[in-house]
Amino acid sequence: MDIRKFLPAGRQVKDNLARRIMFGLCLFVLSLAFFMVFGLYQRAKPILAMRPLKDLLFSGAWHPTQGQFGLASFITGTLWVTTIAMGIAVPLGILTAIYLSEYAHRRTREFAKPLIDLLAGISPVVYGVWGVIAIVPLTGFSALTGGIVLAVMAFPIIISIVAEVIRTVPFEIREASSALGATKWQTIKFVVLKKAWPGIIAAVILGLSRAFGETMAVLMVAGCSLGVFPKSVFDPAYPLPALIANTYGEMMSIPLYDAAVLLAAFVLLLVTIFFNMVGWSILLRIERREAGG
Amino acid sequence: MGSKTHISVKNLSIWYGRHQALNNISIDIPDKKITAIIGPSGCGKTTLLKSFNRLIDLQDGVSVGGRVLVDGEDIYAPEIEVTRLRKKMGLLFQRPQVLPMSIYDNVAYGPRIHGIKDKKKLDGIVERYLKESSLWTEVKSRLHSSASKLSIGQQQRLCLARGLAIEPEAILGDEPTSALDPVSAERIEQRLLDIKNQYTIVLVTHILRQARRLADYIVFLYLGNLIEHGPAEKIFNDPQDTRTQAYINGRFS
Repeated sequence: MDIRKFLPAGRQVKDNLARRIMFGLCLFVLSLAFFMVFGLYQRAKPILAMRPLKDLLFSGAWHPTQGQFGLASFITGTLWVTTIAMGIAVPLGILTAIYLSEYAHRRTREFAKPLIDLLAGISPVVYGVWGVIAIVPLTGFSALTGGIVLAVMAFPIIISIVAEVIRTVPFEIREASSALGATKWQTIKFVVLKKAWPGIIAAVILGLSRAFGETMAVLMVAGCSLGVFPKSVFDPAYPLPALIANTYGEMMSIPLYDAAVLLAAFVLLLVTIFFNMVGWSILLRIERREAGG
Repeated sequence: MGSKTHISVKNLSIWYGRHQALNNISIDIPDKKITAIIGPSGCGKTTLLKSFNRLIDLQDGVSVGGRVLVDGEDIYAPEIEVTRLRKKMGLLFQRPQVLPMSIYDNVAYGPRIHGIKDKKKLDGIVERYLKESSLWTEVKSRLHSSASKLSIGQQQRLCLARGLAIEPEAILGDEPTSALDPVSAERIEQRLLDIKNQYTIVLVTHILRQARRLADYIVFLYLGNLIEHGPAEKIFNDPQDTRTQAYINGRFS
């Protein structure tokens, strides 16, 4: 007896259809990234044709009405806040992760992990408000304040990735070090961190990429005034993402304004994609190495 | 046997959480002899071995009853400094666990953490113990390349050199040849025989023939209990307990 007779004809079709629809949706989502890069490049092209790239990136003169579109002060602002954020978040994040994965009691770890993940999920605007209320009174609307707020936002991602990577270091290798009479700290410093090093770099890069692209919180606390070149961390800074968010929409009447801002977005997108690709490829390699034994 | 005791175990019981791994063990491990701990898998051999340098402390939820005396000192007493105790024992694992650093740094690791900084002195130590574990000629031209590039057999000899470099009194081996090819295994066995006059050696093994070849003294464990112990000839030729007889005749493994 042919078993196919009992399979309702529609089932096969539905199965095929479901697979095709899901494949299409997946393709659509993946292609968005390409369209974004391509679209931004297309819209930024007019200004790249009119002005040398060097002037656009390294000149501090931003006078759209006079046709000057130097992005240097915004790029500098971005570098300031990102550097400060990383300077704070990297050491604190790594040490916290070490404590949680090596020293903390299991119950402490189980309590802390969801809290840290929660920090990652809080809306940036809430961090912004917190920055205005708690940090601005101390350090003013400045690059420093932006950096501090960003550091807090980059924390969770650094902590959770570093803790994850430290956990992949085999227990036996800690045993080997301890058996030679090493203290716990010596074992961590010379063996565990050495083994976890690439993963820690990846965590830092992914944290950096978050800080680099963050808009809302920085916009609220970093000052963001036009015409001030941020010479020190105490000056107001106007990072790229904030520029894009603030000026998009008011630019229509001024020639090339639109292209200049979209160039900023293009630069931001490329840098973020680059950071993410490097970070994830390191993590992927570690994962494969662990899986391969 | 007329030999003095190096490690003395008195009424030792060990639990992992609720599971009891060792039950009221009492034995004396003789000084400068090879003692083999034998018995079927899961009988507590490794636990007993790792209780000698308190490496079981690293496991979660371990509790220890009874005492272990090393050179007459109770190593589970609160005033004992664990790192000093561990420096007295070199440990070889089933699979060689090289540290993620160069060959040189692997051997120098122990001396360095115990405070030796002088470069010349370290050079001497590295050379001496690589020779003692018969690895020197194979690696002397690439001391600063990564230890993980060595073959498994070479890695295990490196681990032996690393263990010897802390100048221990005892060498503990947890089935140290089980991951090795026959030639490498034989070289490790030979090294152990060569140095047994200088160190107390305790080996966990599930290879009976290895125990026959190497051991002066045998400890037979079964399901966490000490069944029988004594000089090797006696255990192998005239075992008293029926379980020992059955195990030695290969009726279970």
